[in-house]
Amino acid sequence: MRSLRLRIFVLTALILATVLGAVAFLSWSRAVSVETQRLDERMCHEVFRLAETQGRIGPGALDPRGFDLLDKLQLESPEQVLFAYDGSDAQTTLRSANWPTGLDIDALAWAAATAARDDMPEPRRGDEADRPGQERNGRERPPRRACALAPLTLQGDAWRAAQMGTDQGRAFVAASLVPIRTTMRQALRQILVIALPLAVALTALGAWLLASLVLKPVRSLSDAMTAVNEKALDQRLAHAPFDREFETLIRAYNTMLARLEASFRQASRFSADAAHELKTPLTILQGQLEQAIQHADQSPVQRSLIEMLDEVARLAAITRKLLFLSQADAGRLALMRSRIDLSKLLRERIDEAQNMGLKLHVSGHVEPGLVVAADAQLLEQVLNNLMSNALKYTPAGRWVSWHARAVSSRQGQPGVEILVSNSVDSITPEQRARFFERFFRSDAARNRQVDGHGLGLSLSRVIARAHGGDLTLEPSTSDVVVLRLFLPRDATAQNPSKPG
Amino acid sequence: MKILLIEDEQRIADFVCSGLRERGMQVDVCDNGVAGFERALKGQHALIVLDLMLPGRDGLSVLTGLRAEGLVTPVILLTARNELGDRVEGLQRGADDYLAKPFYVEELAARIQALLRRLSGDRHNTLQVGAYALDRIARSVAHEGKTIDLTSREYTLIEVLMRSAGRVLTRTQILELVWGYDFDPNTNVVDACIQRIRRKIESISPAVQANSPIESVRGIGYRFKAQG
Repeated sequence: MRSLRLRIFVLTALILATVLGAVAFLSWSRAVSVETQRLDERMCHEVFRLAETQGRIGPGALDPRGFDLLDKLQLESPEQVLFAYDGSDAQTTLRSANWPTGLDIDALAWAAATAARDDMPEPRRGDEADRPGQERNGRERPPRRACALAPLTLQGDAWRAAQMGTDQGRAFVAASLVPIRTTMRQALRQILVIALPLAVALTALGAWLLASLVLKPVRSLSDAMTAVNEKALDQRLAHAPFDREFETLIRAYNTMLARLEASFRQASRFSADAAHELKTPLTILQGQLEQAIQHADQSPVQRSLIEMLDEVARLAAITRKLLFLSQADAGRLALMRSRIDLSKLLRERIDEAQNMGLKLHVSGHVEPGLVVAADAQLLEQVLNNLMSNALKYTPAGRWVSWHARAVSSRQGQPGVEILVSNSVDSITPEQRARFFERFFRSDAARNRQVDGHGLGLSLSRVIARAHGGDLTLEPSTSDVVVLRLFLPRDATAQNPSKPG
Repeated sequence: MKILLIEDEQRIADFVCSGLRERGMQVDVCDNGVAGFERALKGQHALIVLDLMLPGRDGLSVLTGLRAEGLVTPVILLTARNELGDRVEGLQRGADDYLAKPFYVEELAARIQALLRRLSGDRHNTLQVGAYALDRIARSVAHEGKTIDLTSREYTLIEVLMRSAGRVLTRTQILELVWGYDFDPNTNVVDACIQRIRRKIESISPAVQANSPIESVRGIGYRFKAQG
């Protein structure tokens, strides 16, 4: 079955995971760009220092350690830094020890450092004073002293290069990006190890809570609907305690109930009208026939009048049962309960069946003292139906057996169980399935011309259920039919034949 | 003994009237609820037979109105709807008995007589037909003072026959009145039961043998002889 909770959970988890992923990616790229920018600043700073000091220190002092280049750039080994200085007089040409062959400074894709420009230290006043011929145009820094940056790839590793030109010459510094990238990767790994499970757990929890939050009003709505369902059809769901979003649903539900109620009312009005329409002519027929037979002699005419009277009685019985069923279906079955000594009643019925002069073996095992709170008239109907059903459908020479005892229902409710078993030629699974169907009679029953109309069991079941009990067909071998009637002992049993 | 029948269906009113008159009762008929209510309030009737579905004012409303006016005349309801559904409400509103349509006039007459007997203070509630005495309280039948040992069903059957003494009842009528319309086994239960009653009477009073009080009317049914 599809689960809304699961779908909400998955969807929420996906959205949260996407948002988390996006945030992580953005932070990472921001961190990388900030780190790169800081490196650029340092590079510019160092290249500036290199350019500044050129005039005063000898080439030997340009050893990375002495010059502090490694520490300033936060590098670990001299292999990770390159530097160069070309004097403008073409006399001074300095290359670091690890200068790779074929590296052409001018061939790199230089770009002017932007963000770093404002932070760059001002050239010393002394330098400017020494060169009075230098033009100074407003506040703009002379382009020839600008720091330029470029990416560089050496033996597959990424480097960052910076250069700065001065009047005296050009300084160049390049740093390997490997250490900084390694550091960042390590940091990322640490973050992921700690943060990822936490993020997954939080995402799951959040999604679950959200799903519950969404489903909570749905559940309370469905509880309210169930509560309304258990009452009568004229109940309606109130809008008050529910969220605005459920208004349409509640309105649709109430409309549906209203339509159901209308059709139920129509159906029961129909059966009441049908009752009147059918029973009036039946009453007239029966009354007039009854009168006629008293006045006639024992002629063929009288015999046919009696046959007609019998048929009218049959028709009347069917009409009554049908109307009873339709009213019970509409939940309009009123019970008049009283305490009934079921043991006594059953023993009388069994005793009577044994003395009917039928070619059947009728036996009964009835526990004494079985008492139920039931509608006497309706219970009588059930027992009549069960007995006449068993007597009718048992072939001559076979047996019918009644067992009655005090039991507890599957829900632990104390009550009385009555098992009516009778021997039959054979009953097929198909016939079993249709046993309580209205107007259903097995072919065997039809062939043997048994009088009846297949309403008795359906009626008995309706009555049993109205008493809070049930009538069921028990599993058995194909040559036996076992019907089980359960009636609760308790008078407070609910009337379950309400519609819906 | 005057009875008021409030019934709108002309043909039903006709056969009920003639059936009851045959049994020596006087019957007034009203064909709608409003007129029936007015007529009943005059208090001239010993009993009211009231149809539930009436034009003008329905039976339950008439009944409620009559009881509200303090009228204590016994009322038998005739219901065309489901008697099992309507009976509770009818009895709660003060009806003394009810009868489902279609009904036998035989049965209606018996109910009327039972109600009137109860009203007249007949505490013994006995029925004497010839040499046979039926005691409704003890649910027993005696022949010349000797009690016949009957089962509950046998008693009901003989009561149905005795209260209609002199009149023929068909097997179907007996089956319905004694066993109920939902009891229809394929065999002739009625014949078997009548045979048993006859044997029991004979065992008490062997002299009866040639002259059983329960007569078989060939092709029709059974009749309790009016004069034993």
